[in-house]
Amino acid sequence: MTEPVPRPSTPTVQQGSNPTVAQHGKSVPTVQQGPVAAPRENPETPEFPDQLRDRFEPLAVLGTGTEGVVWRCRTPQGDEIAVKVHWANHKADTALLAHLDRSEFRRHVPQLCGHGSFISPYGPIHWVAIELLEATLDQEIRERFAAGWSAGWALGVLRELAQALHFWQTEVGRNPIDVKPDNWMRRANGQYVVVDFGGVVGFTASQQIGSTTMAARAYTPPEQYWQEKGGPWPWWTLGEIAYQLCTGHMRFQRPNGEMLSDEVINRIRALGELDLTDVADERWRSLISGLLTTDPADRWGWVQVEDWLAGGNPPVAARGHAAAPGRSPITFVDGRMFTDPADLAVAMLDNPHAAERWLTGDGRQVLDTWLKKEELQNRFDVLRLRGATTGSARLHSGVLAFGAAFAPEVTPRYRGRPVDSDGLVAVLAEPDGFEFAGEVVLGDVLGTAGGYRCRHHGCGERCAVLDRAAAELPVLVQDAERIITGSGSGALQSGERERLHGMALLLVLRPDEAARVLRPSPWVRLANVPWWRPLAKQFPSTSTAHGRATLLAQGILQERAALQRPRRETGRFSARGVLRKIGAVVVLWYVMIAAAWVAVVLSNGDLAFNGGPDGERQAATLGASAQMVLALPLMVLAVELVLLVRTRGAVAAGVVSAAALGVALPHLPLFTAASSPDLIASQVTSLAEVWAEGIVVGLVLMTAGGLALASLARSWLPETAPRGVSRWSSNRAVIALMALVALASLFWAAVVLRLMIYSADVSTADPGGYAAFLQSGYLLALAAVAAAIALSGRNTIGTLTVAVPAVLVLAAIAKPLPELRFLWLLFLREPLLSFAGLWGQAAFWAALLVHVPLTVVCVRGIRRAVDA
Amino acid sequence: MKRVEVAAITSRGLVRAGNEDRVSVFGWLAPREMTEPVLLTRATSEPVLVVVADGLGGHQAGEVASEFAVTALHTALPDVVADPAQAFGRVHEDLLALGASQPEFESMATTATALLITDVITLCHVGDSRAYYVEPGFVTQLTTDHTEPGGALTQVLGGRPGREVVPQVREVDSADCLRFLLCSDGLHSYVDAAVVREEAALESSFGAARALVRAAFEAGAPDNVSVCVVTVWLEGERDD
Repeated sequence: MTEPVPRPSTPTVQQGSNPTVAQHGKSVPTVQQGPVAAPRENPETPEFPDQLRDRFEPLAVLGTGTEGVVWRCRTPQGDEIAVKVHWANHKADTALLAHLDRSEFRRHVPQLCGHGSFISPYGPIHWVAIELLEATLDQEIRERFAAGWSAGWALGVLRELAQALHFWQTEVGRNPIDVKPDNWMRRANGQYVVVDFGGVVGFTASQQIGSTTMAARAYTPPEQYWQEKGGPWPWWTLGEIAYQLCTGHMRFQRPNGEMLSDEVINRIRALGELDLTDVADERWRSLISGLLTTDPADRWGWVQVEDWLAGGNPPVAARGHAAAPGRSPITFVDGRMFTDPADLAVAMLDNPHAAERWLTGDGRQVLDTWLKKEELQNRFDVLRLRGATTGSARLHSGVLAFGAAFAPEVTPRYRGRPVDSDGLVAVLAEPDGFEFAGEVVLGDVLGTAGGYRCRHHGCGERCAVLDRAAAELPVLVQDAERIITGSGSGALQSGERERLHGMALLLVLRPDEAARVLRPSPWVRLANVPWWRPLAKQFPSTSTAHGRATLLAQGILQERAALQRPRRETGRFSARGVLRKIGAVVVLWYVMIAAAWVAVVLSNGDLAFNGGPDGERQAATLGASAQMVLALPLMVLAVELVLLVRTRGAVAAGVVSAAALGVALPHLPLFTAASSPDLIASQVTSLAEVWAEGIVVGLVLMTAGGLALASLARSWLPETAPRGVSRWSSNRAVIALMALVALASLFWAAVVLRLMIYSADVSTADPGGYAAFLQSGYLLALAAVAAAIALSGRNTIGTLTVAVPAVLVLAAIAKPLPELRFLWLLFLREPLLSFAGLWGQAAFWAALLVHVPLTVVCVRGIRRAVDA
Repeated sequence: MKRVEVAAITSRGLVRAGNEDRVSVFGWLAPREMTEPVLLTRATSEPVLVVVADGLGGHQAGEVASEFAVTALHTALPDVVADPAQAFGRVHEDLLALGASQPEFESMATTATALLITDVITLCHVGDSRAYYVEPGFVTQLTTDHTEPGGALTQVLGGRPGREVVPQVREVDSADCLRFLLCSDGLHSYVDAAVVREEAALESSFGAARALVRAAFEAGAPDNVSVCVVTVWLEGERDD
């Protein structure tokens, strides 16, 4: 099988007589990179695909690039050609190739010797074979400057390139936008052709080309910002090449060969004065100025270049905003003078403190006078600088607005910080990010920043993302504040207000990211705080305005809820409280017994309601026997519920548990730990006799009585759990121990319940023992999880929340695995088996009444320890 | 609710025999000759209007035109609130109709600069009278003179028939405290901008109006001069 073509880490396309794989210091990688095939072990030595060997004999690698690998090959006829093998899944424009494969285009389009595709394990791979060419323009420039530059050579190359561009735009009918020097190749006779078709597009007035552009940044025109890919585009690139033809280096290259940063390139390209001091010849300066005209409509094209080549001097349009020749200068701070408002705007955005100093002095008046004098007052409302002396927020908002009016291509900055969508998200992570967000939200900074150009797909001259955020934010903040105030938890405090603004900003810019932070954790969501519970019950969606406001309110209030969560009241003994608890236990027990009877009778409805007097008697007796069997387990359960749940919720939990046990009783093992006292047994039996005479009356009376007693029990229990100071140790070892006990206990209980449900299992004869046997095998894993819980720091509760269901799943599928036997703690097996043996056949009841409550106690203990 | 304080003064100056300027504040028509500003204050949520009009001296009955304009605008205050430009257009048509019906009023014309204070503050303007926004150290002209480079007016209310009028309308969003200066060309044509900047920002509206007119007189007051210094507070910002 053929290996996929690997991809180099530093892409560049080179094809020529002196091929090189390594990227040259001066070459500029294109911005876009395609899908990648999996790299081979040695990416420096690509392998020629077997599928092409019957067509071409590979001779050498000419280069690797963003689209694929170029090989020098020999055809069966003995001709040498270049074969470009694309990366897997890198699509080739076959329609374009078909269009270009015409003899009449041959002058500036390489001869195509075939193209096609084949399937590889990593996806389809396309290939195209073209005539073998001599060298790239990049190589040519380097060699020429090394050997000695001549004006004739530069002029000849420029003429050739200009004619080629004109040819492509008129004869070929396509617009080659990626025409950096790497993508021009020379034939042996000196003709130049465009070899990279990835940047070739059809002609449309304005075309969206996605969020990335397949062109080298240093060669792309300013209209790349608003993605207007028209005819003037490649002429700008020709201007950059013309500069290189004159100077031997790129315009954005430092003397040491390093490239300037993208941000600096963008700024110079769109705003800066054209620095042509390295270009000695006046006519060449004129040519380059004409080609590097910011406004595409005024940029030189073929007509002007042809005129210039013929010796003419076509006029050069004024350069962007700045071009106004004769514009009077305005003096900024420190004596810096500007004639271009764009430059002044960038200076103010770059130096917010200097701008503040200037504008709170006489700068506002000077600026107003200058704008009116230069008739620029209609582009910027100086009232934006109103009140600047009384509030610096207003002043900096005015500076931002000034930048939007005159330098919309640069990154919007407020107080020196970026306020485009990405910049704002980054600022939020800074220590004063939320405070900054508050100023952004309240000061309509977003609406102003929306006036800058962005790179979002689909945004036009304004940033739709920021405009939408500006429109939504005030309403979102207002709605969230209303929800917070309406919750009854009190007004927003200053820190919360800042957090509200910051999270609101994040919510409109990055909803998913914000939602992860704002959604309360399950533990906080369950916090028993009266004002919090109605809000915590909601699971709002970020796709609706109300949902976002609710989510925001939850996120802001969750900290308050966590702080106000009831804690155990310790250290105070109340005899009344103890008596109430005892009373609640007794009454709840009665209620549970009644509930069990009702459940049993109802579950035998056919017998009770259609079986005549005998049926009624049988049903009543079944209920009574269930009561006798369940009396003791229910008492234990009542005690545990009152002590563990501690609130009125214990009553509801007890009734539901009793009813469920009553219904499931025929399938449960007998509770053999103890039997009901005779007194209770005789009472229950006599009651059964009574109800046998009228089962419906019995049901009504039992239900009504149960409800009345339930109400009484509820009245003796608090609505919320009492608060208090936790005395649990936050020592990690203690937490680890509690976690281990909780998980091991839960594991045992869950295994027992599993075995009870799947009675076909061979081990049901002794479910407790078998569960203990498995427990000893998985104890090491449970200990590791417990250690992870203890070491999770602030995420302890979260880890525990994940661990509990994970242990339940483990218990549901756990088996003795011989291959993992080395992990089993065999020495623990006997003690665990002995412990389980205490329960005998009552393992189910032990799981329900001992192990599950023990798990609850330990989990709660961990929570308190974390809180402490 | 807003609190609006206006210091208004109009005068024929030191050269002209008559005063073709007219000033009205809250519906009150200022007398043709004043030696001291009048201070008017109103705390209201209702719309209020301040107008400065400068009847054109080269035309017949300039003083009639300016008085007609300010009176008509106040009379049609609800229309001004609804659509200031349209209200100005109606005054323009009425002036043309009046000029066509009575020979002595033929081609009479006036400038007009109106400041309408509702929830927002709206300026409506035709001609070369001006409105400025003022705060200490910063004065900016809010209106654009409707003049040719030579100084000839390109837009007036009234004048010769057949000329359209397109008033300049702009809104200023509300703030805690705002100061505006409305004036005829008798002030801004003869008083240095730096003086206007300094005097208009005086703390007291009354003092500012008086200082500005004095500056015009010190400059020779060759033309009629009218000044309205308008200060707008959100209610509660200042107690008198």
